[in-house]
Amino acid sequence: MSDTITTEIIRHGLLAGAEEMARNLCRTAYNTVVYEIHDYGIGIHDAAGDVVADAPGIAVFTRGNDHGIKEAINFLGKAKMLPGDVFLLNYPYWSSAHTLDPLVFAPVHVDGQIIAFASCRIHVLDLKQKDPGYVLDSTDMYQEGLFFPATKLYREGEPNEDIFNIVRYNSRLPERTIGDLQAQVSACFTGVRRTQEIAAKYGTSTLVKAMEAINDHGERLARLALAKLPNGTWTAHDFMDSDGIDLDRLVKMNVTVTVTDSEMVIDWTGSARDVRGPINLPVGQTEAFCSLIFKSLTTPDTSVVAGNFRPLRVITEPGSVMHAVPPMPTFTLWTALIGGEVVLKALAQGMPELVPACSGGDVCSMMGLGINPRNGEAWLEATNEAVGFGGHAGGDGSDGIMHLTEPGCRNNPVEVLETKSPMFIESYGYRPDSGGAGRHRGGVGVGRVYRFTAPSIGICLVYKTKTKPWAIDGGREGDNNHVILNPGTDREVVQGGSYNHMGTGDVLVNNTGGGGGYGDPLLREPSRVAHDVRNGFVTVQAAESEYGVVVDPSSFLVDGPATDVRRSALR
Amino acid sequence: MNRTSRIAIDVGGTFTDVVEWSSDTGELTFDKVPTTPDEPTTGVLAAFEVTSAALDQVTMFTHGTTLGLNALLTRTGARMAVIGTLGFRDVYLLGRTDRRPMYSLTYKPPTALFERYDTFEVPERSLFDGSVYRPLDMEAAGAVAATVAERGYDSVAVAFLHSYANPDHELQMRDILAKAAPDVVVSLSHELSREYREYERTSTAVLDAYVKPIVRRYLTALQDRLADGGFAGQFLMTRSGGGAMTATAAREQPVSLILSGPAGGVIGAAAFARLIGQPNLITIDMGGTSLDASLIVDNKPVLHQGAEFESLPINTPSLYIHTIGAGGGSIAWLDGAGALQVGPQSAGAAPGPASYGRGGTRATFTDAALAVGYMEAGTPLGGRLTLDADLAIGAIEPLAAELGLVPLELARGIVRISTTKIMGAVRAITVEVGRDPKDFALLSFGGGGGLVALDVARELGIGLVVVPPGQGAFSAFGMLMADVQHDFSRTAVIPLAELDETMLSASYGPMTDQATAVLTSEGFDATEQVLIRSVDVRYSGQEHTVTVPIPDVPSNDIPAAIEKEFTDLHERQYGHGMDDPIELTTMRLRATGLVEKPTLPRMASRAGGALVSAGWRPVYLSADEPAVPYALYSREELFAGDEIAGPAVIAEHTATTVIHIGDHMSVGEHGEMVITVAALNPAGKA
Repeated sequence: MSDTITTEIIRHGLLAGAEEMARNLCRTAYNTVVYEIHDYGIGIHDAAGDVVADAPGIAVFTRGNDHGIKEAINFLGKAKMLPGDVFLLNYPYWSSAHTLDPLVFAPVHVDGQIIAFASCRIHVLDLKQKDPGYVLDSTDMYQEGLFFPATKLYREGEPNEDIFNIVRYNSRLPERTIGDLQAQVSACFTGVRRTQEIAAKYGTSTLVKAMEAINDHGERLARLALAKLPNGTWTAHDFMDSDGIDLDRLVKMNVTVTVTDSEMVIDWTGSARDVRGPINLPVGQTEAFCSLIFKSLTTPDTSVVAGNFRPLRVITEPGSVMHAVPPMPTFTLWTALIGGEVVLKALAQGMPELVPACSGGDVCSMMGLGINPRNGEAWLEATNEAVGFGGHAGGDGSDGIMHLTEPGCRNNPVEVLETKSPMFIESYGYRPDSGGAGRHRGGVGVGRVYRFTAPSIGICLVYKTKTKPWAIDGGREGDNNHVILNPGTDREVVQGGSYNHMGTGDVLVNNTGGGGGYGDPLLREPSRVAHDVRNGFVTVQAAESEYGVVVDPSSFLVDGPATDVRRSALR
Repeated sequence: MNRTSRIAIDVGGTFTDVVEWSSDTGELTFDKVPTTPDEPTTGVLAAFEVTSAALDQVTMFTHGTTLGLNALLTRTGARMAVIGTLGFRDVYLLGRTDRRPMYSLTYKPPTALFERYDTFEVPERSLFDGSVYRPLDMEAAGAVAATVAERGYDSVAVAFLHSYANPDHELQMRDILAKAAPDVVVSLSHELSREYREYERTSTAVLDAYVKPIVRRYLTALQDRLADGGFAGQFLMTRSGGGAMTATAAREQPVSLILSGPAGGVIGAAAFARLIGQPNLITIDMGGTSLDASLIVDNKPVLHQGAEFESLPINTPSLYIHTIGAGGGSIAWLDGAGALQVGPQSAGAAPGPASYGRGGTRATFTDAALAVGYMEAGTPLGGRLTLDADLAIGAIEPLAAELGLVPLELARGIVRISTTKIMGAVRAITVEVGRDPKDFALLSFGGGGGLVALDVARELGIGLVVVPPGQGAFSAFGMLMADVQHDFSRTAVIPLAELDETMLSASYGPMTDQATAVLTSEGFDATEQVLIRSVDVRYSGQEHTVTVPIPDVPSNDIPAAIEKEFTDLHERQYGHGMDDPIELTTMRLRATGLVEKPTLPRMASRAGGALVSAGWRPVYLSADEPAVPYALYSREELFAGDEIAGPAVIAEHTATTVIHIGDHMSVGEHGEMVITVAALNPAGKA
């Protein structure tokens, strides 16, 4: 069998192994986010820790496990990694994510040699971080929970009861947390077994060579695509709304992107330093979200392999918000959700026809909790919310879809929220005129209005509320994400990320942003504007003021002469 | 005229399969006619004509059609509107806001079935407990109905919040529409799904409304033509949830037809499982463009909630069928960096594989299988189609040249890559329901299944492969086995401990009345009616549910018995139990009207002499084994008890089965080929 064909057969075998790990995990995990929104990262890696097969999980973790395995190899040395061992790593600066996203991985041995690794990362519920659920205001790493610096969870196939006991006696939710860790272990064992079977079937050296070939092939695909991108250097910045501690300080994310025929360099030099709150990123997480953007631009249709990213170099300054060093707090991680589009903002200067304008920019999470008066029990319900996508050279941005960092995540249905919590949803739908005007307009965001029927807490993880979604080439900015409390009353507050105590009858509106527009709105065909008016994405007023198109509100026909007059006046 | 027949007709993309069961002789006959997509009734009537029965001798006609599916695929369904609750007109277009592609910066959702302009909202509101928070505003509803009439929609879906708990407003809306817009066909969400999650329920109603006018026109035309010919028997359609429904029911709930294409095969597999004493089967049905895989556990098809067609959910219980982009027409190609890929693009039926000689120039799985010697050039594929080996090699050569391989080596690679992909997908769906493929036998049917079945089984550690008789038309055969089924359900989110007699009778009383009334009106007497109750339960706080039958014990003991059953099932499916309280979410009732089933005739044993091979053909396995002789047999010449040791190629009308060295085939009493699979050796070759 030729090498090319053997490589493809082994590639499909490894992908099937990764897929089986994912199904196994979803089947056995206790934590609903694992199987509901596929909040995981799963891979089979070569002996260096470079991923050769992954199962599609959460996009913002792209290639994040590689970094953790490599740090663990550095720390322990491969000699200490024995057959049947499984490691637990959640030290953020190595693992590439916060304490509650532990990386579990196992070496794959054949004849005493490590030939590969299998890995699985998920969000677990509690490892003694300072607050239950999530942490938004830690000021150092010691408030963020128990750390396991590549600790043996299993030793040569046997559970290390000492570690399980430590978790059991420290976690607020010991049974579920341990259940989730066990699910990760079992996924890793599946990956180890399948990889060993492939080695037995085709020969270890054939498998090792195939893994090299898979990464070389992934690299070639990326380089072919990279060569088609315009060369140049562009700089852009945007801001995090705050770090959770210094609430009035915008936190700068500054990026310089250089594209040559041989590499893309994403350089975060100049980003904020001395950030006290937990929005600092472990460098592996910065690399992961940059990988998400690079993959989207170069090889979006093939599965993730480490070779895809050989032409990508990420530069960060240790101590900055993009590269936390101990003991900087890192829990919130939200910078990774907002940061990707800063890279696009830089690229938009040099390749406006290849990238979209900014989307609403976030996953806009709303979490409600409290005691349900109907049964006296504690309740907690959460949902991410869709945003509008940015307009682009090929057309309008999509209306109301999940942010690019978590594409597989689904919203929580109105009927489920109302059944399970004392929240009444007043309305849920598109927000007309929230998309930035343009020759290709930004997609519209959505709004969901909650009325609380019992005292509750409403936590809004909603960022990018202080800067607007940027446009391209003369398009208009989109409306930004924002949360409104008790609109139309004297207690009305417009805000962003927040922890709110809601009384009975209080209203919380989660309005998500629209995408930025692409190109001059006065160049948009009047018939397309009329189509948007007919469909209620653009109001009659905005059609006239933003696009200079006069549309009859009942027939939705364009008034041609009036439009000509209006457009001349606007020019 | 004493002889009577039952006929099943399964319309596929290219061919229409027909199976006739003659009740007096017990004989089954299989045939095939071309599908006529432009005039769907013509092909079906042609299928009737190739049977031996006159239309007035047909007592039961079971039918499968892809009409609804095609309307969706080509977006040629009804011009329709959707009416929702004030403040929620966007429920359908927003959906769950997720998407499959992970790395698309400019993602565009599939073309919608209608625009936002076609969505309406009416002031009204019910709550999760069924109470009315705001009555239906009759005046506003009337105005919406008037607009619907004025705009000339073909159909309307009505889906109000919490209508699963209180359908009153949807029913009132139907009355209002009937007055203002009498010609508009209406689908109400609660009549199709009595479960919470507004998007999924709305989508079910939308798909129903989208295909209803087309399905109704088709059924009317077909029924008229059949009646003209003297047909007076029962007319059934296969449904996506298993079983069949009457054509009358199909007119009302055509959404149940949309995913029914592969259903016949799965129903047949369940019947076959019992017949051959293999209660657990993995089925693979490999056709021209794709492969459908499904599971039979304990002689029953596996069902799931949450079926979808191209991301459009259908919230009715459906057979657990997974479609993989690996069919006979799957195209081999080189990506930008020179790696060989197979599928998911397919040459389909037109132009089809290069070897079809219909103008296809790209190498496909079928071309590769022909080139390595799995199939014989000149093999008839149904109709007048035969395979041309030169055309196959001609299509493979350029790819091989680019990779520096000899054509047969590449062809072998194409077959092996396909096999690996199928293996991975089959393992995934088995693992997902907490099962190990090793505990199953593999039932292979469809045109291409027999080419890969043995290798797929070997890779998965499956010890037995079964190929049923008439495998090319197995799906149509399965339709003859379909009972009439109806599914009813009610969402009721309550702690399991609170489930008592009152609660049970409040939910099951009306559902049972409805079920027996429907079955009776369809002509089933009490002895032919089977009602099975089950509930969806979960640990409180979880989202996923597990369906558990309600055990036949005194009602006081039901919660404890359900708890035990649930804990066991949860343990199997998810690997662990939990201490959390158990919550019930949905009560289900499956009502079955039993129809008479054909019994497969027994095949005779060989009268004398021995089975003789028709010669041999070289099969290319690898560069080291470029011409391994495979003995050739014709399946039509096999008798019960015949045995063949691999390697061999067993050809039959429209299908081929390839067994390898060490594999051993014996013919069962109904003509099924039962093949024991040689274990995998470390070199990967059997």
